[in-house]
Amino acid sequence: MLRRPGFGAGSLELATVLADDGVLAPNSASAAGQQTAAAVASSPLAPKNAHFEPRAKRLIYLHMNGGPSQVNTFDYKPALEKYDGQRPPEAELKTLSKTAGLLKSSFTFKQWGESGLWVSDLFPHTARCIVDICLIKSMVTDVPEHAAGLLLMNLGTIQSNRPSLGAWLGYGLETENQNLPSYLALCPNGESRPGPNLWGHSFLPGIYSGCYEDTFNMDAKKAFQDFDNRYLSLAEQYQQLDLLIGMNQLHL
Amino acid sequence: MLSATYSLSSDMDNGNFLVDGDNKLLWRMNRRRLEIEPWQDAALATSGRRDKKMGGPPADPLRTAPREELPSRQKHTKPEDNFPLACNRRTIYTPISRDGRFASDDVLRLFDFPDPRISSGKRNVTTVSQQHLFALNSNFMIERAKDLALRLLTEFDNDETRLDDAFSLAFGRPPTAVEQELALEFIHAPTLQTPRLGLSRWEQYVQVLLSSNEFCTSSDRSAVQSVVTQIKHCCNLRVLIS
Repeated sequence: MLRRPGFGAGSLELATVLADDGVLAPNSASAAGQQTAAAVASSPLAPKNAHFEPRAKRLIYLHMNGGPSQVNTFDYKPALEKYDGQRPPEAELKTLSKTAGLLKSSFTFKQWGESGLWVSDLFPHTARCIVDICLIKSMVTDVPEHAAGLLLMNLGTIQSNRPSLGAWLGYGLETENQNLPSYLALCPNGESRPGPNLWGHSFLPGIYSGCYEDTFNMDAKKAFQDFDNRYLSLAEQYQQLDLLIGMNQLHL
Repeated sequence: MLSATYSLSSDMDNGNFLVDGDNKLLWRMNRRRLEIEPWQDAALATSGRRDKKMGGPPADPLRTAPREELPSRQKHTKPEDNFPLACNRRTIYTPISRDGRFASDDVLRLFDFPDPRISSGKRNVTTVSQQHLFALNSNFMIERAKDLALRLLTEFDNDETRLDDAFSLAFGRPPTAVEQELALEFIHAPTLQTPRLGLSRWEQYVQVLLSSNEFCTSSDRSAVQSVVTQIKHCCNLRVLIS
């Protein structure tokens, strides 16, 4: 109830974050402290129960735009060696410019470990622990084009107007860490094409949108908008917050 | 539910609040938060800085730059005074891009502006910490607070009258005794010595006014009283002119 109207009530949320951090001692802003629990419970970022008991504890998703090709790394294609330089009719794609034909990998593949997975000699060290790695090689696309492929990968469709994978995860599971946005899009050296819709929220609430961050600049004051106040010290801002909470309580 | 329920005011009733604080039984109209557009417009208008020009294209200098010279979002240059609005006109004149090119895109999206790439049936309402950072620290809010404080300090010579006018401008009503006490206590407290640029106590106070629930929500009563106040201001103006 207290949080429903204006974002003036959002002060409670900030108070929550500060209290979690130990920045805000419980008795330094008692009004804020009392309402902390209520604010956590009703936060749109509060953790939710999944439909099924999750087995994975963590997920690290590295989307490596422009990374080395699968046929040079983990996806051994003996047929490519057989048809090297040829132009079978299946390889004629009208959407792409003329090429010299199929090209075999210039790296040699070997089977490794108990699982016998094929790894190219580009990854001699990874190959030694490949038994611990699960490779998905069954994914196919009907879009042999980069930008649309990125959309397909991140949104599940080549239309740019759907929520991204991270936005759906945030919407469905939310986050255990109330100090950070539920979804960070870390893009060292700036965003790539086709841009923000790769981590967009589309028709889901805006809070689930990926928080874009150019990790090339790791100074938090510069990286996050309005992180710092050039005019006021923290002590003065606490006074403002106390006043805000006092005024909002008079206007329930 | 009868139409009487729909026409309820959002006024507080202590007895009802104690029984049903969440308003599940609809004893009053739920307060609705203002969208980013009317809230920013109100902040500009209250601080006396709203550019009343109607119509025409959005006044954004970035628009005139050739496309390849447009800065990316991270390299966006921030005009000091009116960032992120790009102008002091109503928010409806703020430029919107589909690729998030303008600084204003970030702010609009932060406050639940719909994704311009898709049609949207309804606007979501979220409350997130970044919104509060905007209210606490953004250049836009600090500038509005400075403008409003300056307006009050130049127009009146004592704090009680200034406070009455601040409430009249922001909420369309005079302050209650408790609010007046809270305000004067805050305003008369000493300014803390810090290495930062600093704001006067009045500037700090009106920044809180512009971030308060009452300013950010719509309630029927204050809408009606705002009109009353505007009429009153018009009358005062007429007296001045004649």
